[in-house]
Formats: sequence, C-alpha cells, structure tokens
Amino acid sequence: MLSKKFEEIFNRVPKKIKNFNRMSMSVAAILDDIIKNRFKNHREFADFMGKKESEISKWLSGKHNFTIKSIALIESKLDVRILFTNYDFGGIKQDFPQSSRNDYPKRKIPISPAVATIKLDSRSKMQSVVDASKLWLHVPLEVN
Amino acid sequence: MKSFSIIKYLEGKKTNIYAVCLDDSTACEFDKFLNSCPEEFNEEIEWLVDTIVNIKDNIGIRDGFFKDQGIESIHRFINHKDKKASIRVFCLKWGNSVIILGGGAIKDFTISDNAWQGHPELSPIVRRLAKIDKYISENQVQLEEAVENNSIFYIEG
Repeated sequence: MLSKKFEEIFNRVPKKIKNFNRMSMSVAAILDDIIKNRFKNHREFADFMGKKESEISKWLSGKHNFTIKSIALIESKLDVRILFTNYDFGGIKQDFPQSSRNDYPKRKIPISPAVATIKLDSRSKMQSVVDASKLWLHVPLEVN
Repeated sequence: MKSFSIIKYLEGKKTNIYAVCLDDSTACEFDKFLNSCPEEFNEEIEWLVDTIVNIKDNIGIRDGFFKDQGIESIHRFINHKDKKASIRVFCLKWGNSVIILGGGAIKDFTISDNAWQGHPELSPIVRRLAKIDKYISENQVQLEEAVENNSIFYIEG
C-alpha cells in the first residue's frame, strides 16, 4: 500500500537528515531502554542526571542534537557506552573512498562473499561477525 | 465522516504502520496530506517520512517520538523543530505495538492558542481520529482481521 508520494519523498530525503535521524533516534532508544530497566520513571532519571524532565523528553524525542560533551556526560553518569567509533574496535578499518575529492572513476570490487569472524580486541573479549559480502573495496581505475 | 477503513500502509522489520481511510476513499488521510502539503514544507515532510521509516525498520515505536494529545490514544509525531514545526501529523498509538496514521495539516501560527482544540485545521482531524479510536475499542475491532478483510466500519452520528 506504500504510496508513490511517500516513496518519492523518502528517495529525496537528504543524507544529512537520514544520518541525524539514525543517530538521534538510536541514542533516544538506548536511553529509553536504560530508563525502563534502571529507573522508576522519567522523573527519577531526570533527578539522577540532574536535569529537568522537559530536557529528558527532548533527549527521548529522537530529534535532539546531542553534543559529544553531553553524550560523554550521560555515558559517565550511567556507566554505559552509547556511541562507538571504528577506533573502539581496533581491528576494523573503514574504507573512505576518495570519490568526493577526486574526479577519477571508481569501480567497486566485492570482497569474497563469505562470513568472517573478526576478533576485535583480545582484552575486552569482544567479537563481531561481519558479513563479508556487504564489504566493498573502492579501487581507482587507471586513467590514461 | 460516515465510515472508515484501515489499511496496512508500510510493512517494516520492526513494526508495521497502518493508516486510516475515510468514507470509501481509496487514498488514506495521510497520503491526502502528503499530496496536498505545499512545497514550502518539503523539509519538514522529509524529516517526518524518514522518521516513520526509521520507526518501522530500525528502532520500533518509542513513546518519546510522539506527543500525547490528551484524547483517546491520539498522538502527534514530534518534528525536529518541535513546537515551531508547521506540520502536524496525528496518529493512533497503542502502546509500543501499533501506529495508525491519521491525517495531517499545517498549523496556523497566527492563532495564539497552542493546543489543537483552538485550530480549525487541526481539531476536525483529531476529533475524527478520536471517534475511530473509540469505535475500535468499543467494538473490539481486530486490526489484522479488519485489514485482511478490507472491512468498512460505519459510524453513527
């Protein structure tokens, strides 16, 4: 029943909006889970964080523009991790294609389609299963 | 409004999104709003559409993403501009399991009353949805069954 109009609008949503929604809504969902598990209600959580309830409502709206400083404060107060970057998983390096800076054409070469298990950090004993069929190498084509 | 039906509007990995159609119309109220919304509100509409897709596929329904309208189980989507946002889209939200999209409208900021009751564009949408919500709960309408059977429900008065 998906309408053409809805699809048309979704297809033109700028990446910056998609990225913002993805991040802010994810952080909101994590906080929502924490509140449900550890606190009686929003008020108790607000008191614990030293914030007003209205501020907590903003955090949970999925539209709040968290700063790194505020995330760091929330993580330290709650003793949890909310945001992760590649550097938290020492073994994984992200591929940053240069297409935005260089004009030469690119082609995508898929890594062999297999499921790889990568041991990320022996100290933390964390492991992650990565579907290698979804990984791509960006290789510049030779231009004469 | 004399009758209504409910369609499955979007199928998602986390949750399905339903929508209300009024009076034998094949288009749901939400689509009617999308089609009639002036271009100047494109950005707000894009935020809303992406939010709905995130809810259905990635995050699921969370209370915080909606604002309770104080009548039946009617909520509105929180926009990135929050109270300064012009578009208002209403839905029925049953806990964290079901969303049924209703209609939407542009809020008139020349009206000083902040609540939907004081806005002639918003209040009919909310009142219609409230009637539908009441009908569904009083008649114990089974959502999936109503969608599967393309049921049309007639409301008196």
